[in-house]
Amino acid sequence: MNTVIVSRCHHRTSFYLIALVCAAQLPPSPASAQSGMAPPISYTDFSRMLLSGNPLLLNNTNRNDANQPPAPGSNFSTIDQRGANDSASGDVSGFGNMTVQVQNGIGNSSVLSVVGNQNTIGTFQRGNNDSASISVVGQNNKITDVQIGSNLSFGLQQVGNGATVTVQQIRR
Amino acid sequence: MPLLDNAQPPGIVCSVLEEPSGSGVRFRGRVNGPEDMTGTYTFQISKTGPAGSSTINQAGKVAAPANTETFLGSTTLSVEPGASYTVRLTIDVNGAIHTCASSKGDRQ
Repeated sequence: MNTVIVSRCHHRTSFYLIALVCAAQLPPSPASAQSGMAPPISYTDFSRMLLSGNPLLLNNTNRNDANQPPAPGSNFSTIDQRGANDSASGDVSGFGNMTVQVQNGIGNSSVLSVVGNQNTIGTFQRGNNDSASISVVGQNNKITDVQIGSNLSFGLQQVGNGATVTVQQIRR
Repeated sequence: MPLLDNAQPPGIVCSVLEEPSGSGVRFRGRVNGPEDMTGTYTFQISKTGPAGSSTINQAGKVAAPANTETFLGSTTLSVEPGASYTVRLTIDVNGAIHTCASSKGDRQ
């Protein structure tokens, strides 16, 4: 059974992304290496809402009214999926927002589309045959992708100046 | 460390910088010229290795003052042993498209 956790809070911090990058350095446990399933990770505990069941497609996160200037740094969203063959997509517009997608399992796919400036976008996938795709249009965005497993795929289309891109693919 | 400078318009010098960064490599494009320069750029990185593949396309505007190094695009990419990558920087200045740098690397 897949579990989807969606959370929002009103922090402007890069703590969670830093945690993702640091977590990527941790070796998997023997059990997770054998099963392909990763154990729960502590940094998902900031969730605010839990949806359970088998929602294979999640369209969520934050979309600000294009006619209204969004408050900077007002949105923070995460998608956390554990299981196999999950997919998640996020669509974000505005600036100063943070969006993180976390997927554990095999055959997962993550798609993120972001329009705006100074956003922080992150994907974390742990498992084999995972794929992530990010599209970003705007200035000074920070994009981080961490994938652990094998047969991984990552794609980024980024338009705008001042972006910082970090991509880590670690074979396990 | 500039990897390769290909044939370029007179006066325009550009290259791909490749700098070690942890277990990966930081790639940046760089351009310099004797006159103010405006246009657009694309910075393309493709990596294939035992862990998987990454394709990164960055694009943006070029606004480079004369005689000033201007960096275009920035990507830090893990390069695991056995992986190979290609990097290409293309600049469009005044409607003329120039492929300024292209490199290929690998890690044993």
